[in-house]
Amino acid sequence: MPRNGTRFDCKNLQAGALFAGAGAGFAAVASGYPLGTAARMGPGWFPLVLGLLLVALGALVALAGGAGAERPASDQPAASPRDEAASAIGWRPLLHVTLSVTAFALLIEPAGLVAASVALVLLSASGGWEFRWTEATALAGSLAALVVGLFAYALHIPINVWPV
Amino acid sequence: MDLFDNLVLGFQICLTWSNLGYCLLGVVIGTLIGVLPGVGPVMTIALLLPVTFGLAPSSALIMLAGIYYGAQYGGSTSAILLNLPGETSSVVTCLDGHQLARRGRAGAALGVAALGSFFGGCAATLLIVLFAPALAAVGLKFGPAEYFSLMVLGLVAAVVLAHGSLLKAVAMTVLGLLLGLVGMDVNSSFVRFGFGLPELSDGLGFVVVATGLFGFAEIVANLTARESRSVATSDVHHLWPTRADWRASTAPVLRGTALGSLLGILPGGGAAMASFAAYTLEKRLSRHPERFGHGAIEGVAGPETANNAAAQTSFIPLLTLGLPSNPVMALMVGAMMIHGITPGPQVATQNPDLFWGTIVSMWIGNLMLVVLNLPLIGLWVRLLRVPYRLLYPAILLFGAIGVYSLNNSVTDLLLAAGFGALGYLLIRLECEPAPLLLGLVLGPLMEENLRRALLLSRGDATVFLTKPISLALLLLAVALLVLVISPAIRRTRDVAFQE
Repeated sequence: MPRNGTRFDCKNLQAGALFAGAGAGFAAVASGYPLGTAARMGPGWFPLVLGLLLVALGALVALAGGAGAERPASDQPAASPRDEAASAIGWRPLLHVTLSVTAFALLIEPAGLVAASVALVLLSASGGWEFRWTEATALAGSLAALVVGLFAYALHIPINVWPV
Repeated sequence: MDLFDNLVLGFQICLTWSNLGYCLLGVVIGTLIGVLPGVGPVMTIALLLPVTFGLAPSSALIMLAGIYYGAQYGGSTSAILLNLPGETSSVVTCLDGHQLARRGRAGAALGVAALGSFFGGCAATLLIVLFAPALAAVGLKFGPAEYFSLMVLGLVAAVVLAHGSLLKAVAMTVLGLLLGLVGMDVNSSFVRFGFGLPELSDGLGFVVVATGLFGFAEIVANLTARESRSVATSDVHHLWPTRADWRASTAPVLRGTALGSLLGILPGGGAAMASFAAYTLEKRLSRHPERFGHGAIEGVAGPETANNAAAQTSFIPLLTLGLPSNPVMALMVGAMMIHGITPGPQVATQNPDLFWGTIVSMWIGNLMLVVLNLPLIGLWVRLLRVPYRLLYPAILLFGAIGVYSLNNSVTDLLLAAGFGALGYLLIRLECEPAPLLLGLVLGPLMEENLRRALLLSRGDATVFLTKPISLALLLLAVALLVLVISPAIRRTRDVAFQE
C-alpha cells in the first residue's frame, strides 16, 4: 500500500468531504421536519443532531486525519489482494458490476428470471480480466438453469421464470 | 435443576432429524464459503435469509449460526494450504500455517487448527450456557435509559475495535445511524427521507445494504486487483499432530479460548479481532518469538481457537440483550424478526426452544465440523481450483436473487447496486463498512429508547447519569474512549496491530 503522505491526505480529504456532505444533506432535510422538544421529540430532532455531528466529524476527518487519530497503514489486515495491488480506481469492474445488477433489476419483472440471469452473468463476466465469449455463455446458461431449478422449482420462491 | 432441564430441551430440539439436517447444511455451507476467499458469512446469510422464511424459527437460526462458525473452520484451510485467507479471521493463520505447509507439515497445521477450533467452540458454548440466562435476567430489568447507554457503549466498543482510523469509524457509525432512520417514524408515522418513494417508507432493508456493501463492493474490489491464485497444494497427510505439537499447542489453545470468548462478547469484536489479538499474545509470550512467521504451531493454534470461540460468544449479547455485536449478528436479528420474534432478554423465557436449541446446536455443529472437515479437506482444495472469473458472476447472481426475493422489489435491487458502488468508494477511501452496518441496525432502536427515556424523565437529560446501571455503562464507554485516545496506549496498540 502506498504510504506517501499526499495520497493519504487526499483520501482523508475525500472521505471527510463525503461524510460532511452526507451529514449536511441529512441535517438540511431533517430541519424541515417537526423538531419537537427534548421531552417530546419530533421526527426531526434525532436526525438533525446526528447530521450536524456527521458534518463536524467529516471536517475532523478531512483536517486532522493525516496526523492525530490516524493509525499506520500497515495495521489494515492484508486480507485481500486489493490491499497491495489497488492503486487505480477499478472503473471497469465497478461499471460492469453495477450495470449487471441494474440490468437484472430492470429485466426480472418483464422478462423473467432466465433472461435476467443471463444478462447479469454476461455483463458481469465481461468486466473481468480474462473474458471468453464461449465460456461466459456456457456459464450464463448453466447458472440460469441452476437458479431456476433451485429458486423457482425447489424453493418455490414466487418469481417469473419466463417473460409474461 | 433448571439448567439441566433447559439443556435437555435444547437437545430435544436439536436431535430431531430435520434440525440435525439443517445444522449439517449450515456447517457445510459455512465451511464452503469459509474456504472460498471473497465470499463471507455476511453475504451468505443475507442471501439465505429469505429462504429460511418457510422454516421453523429454531431451524432457521440453527442453520444460519452454523454458517457463521463453519466459516471459521473453512477459513483456516485455504490460509494454511494456499496462503490465502478464506475469511478475514484467518489472515494471521497464513503467517505460520502456510510456512508449516511449505515444510510439509500441512497436516499437522490443519489438525491443530481444527482441534483447537473444536475446543474453543465447545468451551465458548459452555460459557453461553452458564452466563446467558443470568445476563438475560439482568437485561429484563433494563429500561429505555439503560438500553440507550448500552447501545452507546456498544457503538463505542465497535469503533474502538475497528481497523483503520478511529475518526472514520465514528463517522461511518453516525452515517449508519442516519441511514437507519430512513423510513416511517414509529412514534409519529412521519416518513423521513423517503423522497416520495413508497418502498423507502419501510426503511432501508438491512439485507439490501449488507449485500451491496459487503457482497457487490467486495467483488469490484477483488476484480480491481488482478487474480493471482496459485494452487500449490502439497499432499496432505498425517492430520493428527505429533506429541510435540500437542505440547506446544495446549497453552495457546487455552489462552486463545479465553481471549476469543472475551473479545467475542464485546460489540464490534467478533472473530477477526480475536484472531489478531491471539496471535499477538502468543508472539509476546513465546520464549522464541523469532520462530513466528516461520512455521510456529502456536501461531496457528492460538488464533484459530480464538476466532472460533469468539464466533460462539458473539451470540451472547444477541440472545440475552437483543443487541447485535457484529454484522453477522445483525443479520440474525433480521432472521428472528422475519419469524416475528423480537430479539431481547425475553427470548430466553418466551422462546426457550429457540434459545436453548440454538445454543445446543452450536456444540453439535462443532462436533460435525471436526468430524467432517478433516477427511473432506481434499474436496475443499479441489474447490479452490475454480477460478474467480467463474465464481463471481455466480455470487453476484445469487446476491441479486436474494435481495429481490426478500420483498419482490425492483427498487431494493437498484438500491443494492447503489450501495455496492458506495461500498467500493468507501473501501477506496479506507473506511471500514462494518461500523456503518451496526449503526444502521441500532439507529432506530437508539432513537426509540432515547425518546422514551426522555419522555419518562420529562426532558431531563440527567436521567442517563442518575440511573446506576446506565451511569456505569456510560462510564465504561468513556473509559474505553480515553484508553484509546491516550497516546501511550495508542502506541502499544499500533504496535500490536502491526504485528
